[in-house]
Amino acid sequence: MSAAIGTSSAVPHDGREIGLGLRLAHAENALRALATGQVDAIITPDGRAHLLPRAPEQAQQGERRLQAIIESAVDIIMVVGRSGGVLFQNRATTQLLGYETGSLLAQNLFQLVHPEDLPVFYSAFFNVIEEFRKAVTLQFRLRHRNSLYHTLEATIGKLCDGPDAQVVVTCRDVRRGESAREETAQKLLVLAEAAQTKDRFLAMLSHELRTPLTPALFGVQELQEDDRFIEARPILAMIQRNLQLQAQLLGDLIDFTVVGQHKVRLHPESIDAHEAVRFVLEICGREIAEARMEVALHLRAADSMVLASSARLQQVMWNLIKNAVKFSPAGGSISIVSANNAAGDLILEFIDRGVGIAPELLPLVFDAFQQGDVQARPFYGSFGLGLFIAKGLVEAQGGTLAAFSEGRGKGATFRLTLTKASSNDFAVPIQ
Amino acid sequence: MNESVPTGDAPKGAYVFRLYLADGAPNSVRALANLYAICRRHFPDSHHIEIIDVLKDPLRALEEGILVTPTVVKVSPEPELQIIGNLSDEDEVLRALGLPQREMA
Repeated sequence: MSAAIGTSSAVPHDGREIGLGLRLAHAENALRALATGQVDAIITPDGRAHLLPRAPEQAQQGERRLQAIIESAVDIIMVVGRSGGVLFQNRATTQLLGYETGSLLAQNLFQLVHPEDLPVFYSAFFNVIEEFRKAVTLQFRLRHRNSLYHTLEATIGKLCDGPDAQVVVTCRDVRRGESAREETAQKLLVLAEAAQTKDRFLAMLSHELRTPLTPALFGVQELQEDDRFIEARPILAMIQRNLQLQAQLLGDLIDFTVVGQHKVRLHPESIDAHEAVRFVLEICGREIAEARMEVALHLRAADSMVLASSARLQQVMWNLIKNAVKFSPAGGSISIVSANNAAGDLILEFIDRGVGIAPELLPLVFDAFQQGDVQARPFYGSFGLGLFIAKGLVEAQGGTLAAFSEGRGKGATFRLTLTKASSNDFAVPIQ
Repeated sequence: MNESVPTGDAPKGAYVFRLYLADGAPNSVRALANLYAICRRHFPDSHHIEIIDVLKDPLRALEEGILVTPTVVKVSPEPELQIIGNLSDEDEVLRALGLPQREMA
């Protein structure tokens, strides 16, 4: 900072007559101020004030400062002439597009714009040059020195008019965000395709694996009825159980692929959900008895007629009941409660007092291949597909399936909501 | 722009300055801003700045023996005193005014 120039000499207060010494001191101070660029006007003895042109040093300082600002900008700043010739490029141009300082100056900007983007760029450029618009912002691709195109967001603004009109093009590199998005989208596509391939393979595989089971099951059944093999019956029963389990697992896998691809086609009929619950309980009777479970039925709904696919609804109930048994301690109890909601739809709740579901796992219970806690795995005889399939099947029938639990060890409730059957639907008996 | 900028009633013992400047010129603008800042900081309640634009009233400057702008004249308290320049160096200005300089940071 240059020093302020001061005189410490006193000026006689009363008169205009100033001593020669003081005048000289003032003149000297004025000269010093002049030399340090702190003067902007001089008053000459003829009584006129002359404004000084800006001190060259000051002007240079200003220019250097402007240059520093432009060069330190993260955005590309270019000055472009009417015909597209690049007249100025800042340092960011080198950093973002690889063109060394000055190397663009002989080039035409239009030749660097991606051919597909050229019409849009051209139109924006001339709108500004011809002063139809003050400034235009657009996205276009510009060729990097390495020949790859980078997507830039640019603002074209007028710098000066006339036949030598020039514009300032400031560009921001948006390629980073853009390419990341594109990359993610591409990865998702690949993943989706891979998932589809996997589903198709799984469907095919489960069908192929299940086909030989059917004749084997028939064979075992015949042998069990054959008196010649009485002694082998326990072994035959074991073979039958395992074959049935295998068939069940493969059935789950097939359902999973079908539900997963939203290809379930059902033909809902009017059926009695209460009747279906009782029927399924009979089927599950042996498993419930083996686990010494008690089932309390509170089927209080006045209207239990629902629109559903009989076989699929039974499959869902079977899944929910087996699930409740599986996750309850031996000797526990399960409640099945029904009620009608305001709309007349049927709500069926399957309530157990078993291991419950931790809050963080609750949103995952309907996901495929999920089975409660990691420590609790593996459960024998299941892939963890039951609830996923059940939810898919319920939704295909126009219903909903939701899970509730107060937390680990506090049991779980699965609420099944089924659309009520309209009165003129013909009721189909459960079988 | 030949105007008085009263700040309060310029009571007795107040600092009265007369600033000769060229309106709009960079050093003049800076001198004005610096003078305001110094006054606000050191005599917040007792200062008075008269501004004379030499481009409009060069004769007044000539009469006062002003050679260049910006020049500030301390009219009161006595003794009268001239400071030439843009007043950027506050310490230098305070020294010329015979006031204690700022504490070193």
